[in-house]
Amino acid sequence: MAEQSIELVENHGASLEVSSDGYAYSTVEAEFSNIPETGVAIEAQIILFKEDTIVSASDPADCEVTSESPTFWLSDTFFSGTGQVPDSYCVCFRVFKPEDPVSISAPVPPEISRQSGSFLIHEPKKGFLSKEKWNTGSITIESVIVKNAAGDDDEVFINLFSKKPLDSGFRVQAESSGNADETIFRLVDKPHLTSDYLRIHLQEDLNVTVTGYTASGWSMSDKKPFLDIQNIEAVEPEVDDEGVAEEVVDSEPESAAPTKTKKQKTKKSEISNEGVNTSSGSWFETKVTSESYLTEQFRMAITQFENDGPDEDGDVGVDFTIEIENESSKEISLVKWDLIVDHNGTSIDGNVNNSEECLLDKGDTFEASSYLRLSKAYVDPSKPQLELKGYAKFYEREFLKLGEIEIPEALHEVVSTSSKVKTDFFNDEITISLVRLPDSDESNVKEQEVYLKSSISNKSDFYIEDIEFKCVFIDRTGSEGDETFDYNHALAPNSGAFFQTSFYSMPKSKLKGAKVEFFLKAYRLVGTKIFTDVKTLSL
Amino acid sequence: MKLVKKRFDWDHGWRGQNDLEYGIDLTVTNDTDATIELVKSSCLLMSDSGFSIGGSSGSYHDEDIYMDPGDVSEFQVVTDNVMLSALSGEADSVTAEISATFFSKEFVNLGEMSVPNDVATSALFENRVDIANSDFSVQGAVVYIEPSDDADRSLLATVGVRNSGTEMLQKVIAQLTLFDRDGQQIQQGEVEEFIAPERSTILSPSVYTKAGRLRGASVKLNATFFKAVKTSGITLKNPEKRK
Repeated sequence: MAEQSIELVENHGASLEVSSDGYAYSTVEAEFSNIPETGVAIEAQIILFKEDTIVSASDPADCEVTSESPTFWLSDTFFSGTGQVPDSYCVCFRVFKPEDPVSISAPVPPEISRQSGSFLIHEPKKGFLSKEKWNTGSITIESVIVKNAAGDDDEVFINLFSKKPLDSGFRVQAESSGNADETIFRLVDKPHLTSDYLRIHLQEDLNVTVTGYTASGWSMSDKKPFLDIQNIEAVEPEVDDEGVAEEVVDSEPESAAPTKTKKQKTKKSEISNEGVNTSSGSWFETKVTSESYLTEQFRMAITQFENDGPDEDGDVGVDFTIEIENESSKEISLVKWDLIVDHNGTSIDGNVNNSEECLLDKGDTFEASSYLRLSKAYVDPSKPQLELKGYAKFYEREFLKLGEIEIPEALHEVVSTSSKVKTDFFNDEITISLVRLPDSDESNVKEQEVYLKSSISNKSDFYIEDIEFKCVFIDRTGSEGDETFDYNHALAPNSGAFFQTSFYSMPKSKLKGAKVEFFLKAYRLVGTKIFTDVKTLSL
Repeated sequence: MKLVKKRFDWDHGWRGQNDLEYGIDLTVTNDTDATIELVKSSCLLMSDSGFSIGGSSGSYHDEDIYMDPGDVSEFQVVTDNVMLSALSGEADSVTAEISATFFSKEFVNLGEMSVPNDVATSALFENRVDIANSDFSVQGAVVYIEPSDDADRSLLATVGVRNSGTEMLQKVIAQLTLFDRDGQQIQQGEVEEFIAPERSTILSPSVYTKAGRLRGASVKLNATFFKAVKTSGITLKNPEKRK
């Protein structure tokens, strides 16, 4: 395997600066060998040690390397104080190997250059039985967009889908009659992605080439000591004062690095404080809850996006379908979702508070369709891109049959039943009481009321939502009659709830030989998914 | 089944001074041996010249009541508003001719079966049920999945009902209930029909859900027949102005 032969051979320029206010700033120039002719992309981070203890790890950064340019600069900054100054480092990296590129020919009609601007969407051709595939590695190109904004250069970008988000990357090249532009390598960090815009002057038909990259596993270099350690003076923090800002601009280049250090220090400090608050401020065992919530095991995508209009009022109607796949091992019985539409950096519409019961085993998909009407006032036709943000919550369910009670013949006689239930949510025994009372209208002697009461306690360490206590009236022939229920929106961990409901205006004779059946239903959040996509209106 | 006037009054309707609405409430005593669970009423409003100026529109008005033998109950007779221009006399000159038919109920549980696996199979309810003391019967039923191109599924039932007698079957309801694999009721659909003497028909209640929820699900079918027990009539005169 090619990626196995790519090695970190040398770490040049490894240096560490320790400022007087306790911040450590490290840089490493990593050099790789055995790079193939096609070049590769590298994602890497530096790990800083004090003796054998890791004291900091930088955020991963990515870069393309070739045999002519095999090095990659990495850096990290953190508050080391006086006791956590690193003495050694190593480089943790993985290689993104290019796959066979896909070349897409995109015809460009003369209309693209009209004065008012124009927009072209190229999608794979659909045949009678199949659809053209624009694949490279794990990446599928869904569309190529060509845009001509009046007065600007032509722009080209692609929308893509990756089967392996976080383990794939891509770069795009576009060429039209000798004019060309290309993007740098970009990691695919979510299933659906829009590429950076390429600026290109279109003269004849356009050719777009997309190269997908597939990641190897992570490797870690040997640990090496810092040989170049310097102590530097801390600089005063940058102040948002106009006069001071001018001084910073005019200052010597040497001051740039410490200034940057100071900014990063502030950020690090904030993060550090958040961490302290999270752990010390918790008043129940949040770790149990957070471990229960999945965040990445649900695939969510917009599978249909079509718009009509603008209508007479200039409003644009949008039909869309959301597809969600349960990739977790949980059985999902309820999906709640919201879709927010952003345009030009602000939210302009949304379809929220949607809730649908379902049954999704692992691998099952869920589809939801909806419609939005975007007001003319909010849609800028020269920038028809909409950023769609989806938020989905996934729930597992407990459904318990709690037995039945025959309605007593006598008034004011309280009867009850206790059900032993096997449940992860509630107490193991749930008791329900029933009493038959005169009608609230004392003059109405022909009708009576039946009151039902119960309570539950949430014995778990998580919130339980949408709890429904349902009672079904069954007459003496076995025919289901009325239903009544009580509802609790959310029940906190280790807390309880009381339910009460009633059947009223029941003819006395109808209660003869009748019974009431009881059911309890509740949901627990097991996963969430946040999803973004950019779609373009056809105007 | 003696009908007794409890209320017969009038007031101006939603058209202001141009129309009248008549309110009619009756009480009834169940002097039969059957339990009465439904009443259908009809009414003609007659002018003082003896012709119809209004009444109940549509085929019938029905109301759920519950009366064991000997019980007394009350029900409302619904009428359409009458245009003032149709009246030759005063508002209180109108006469209401009312008839009411009382029904007992027979509930038939046709059973519960697993939902078919796909569109190629059906759940067959092969039981035939004759309704006691009548010529009405259920001749079996089928539940199937309607073919669909998307993730939504409709389950349809066809319940065959026969009326082999000479009496009109004035109301029959077929009800299809869908339960998920844990026994939670997902949805319920029902349809009602009337069947002329010596005729048959199918009733087709349906339910609708996501395909995934059908895994391990079951359906329950039942039918409710209403058999006419007795018809009574009453004529009301001299309505009062509503207070």
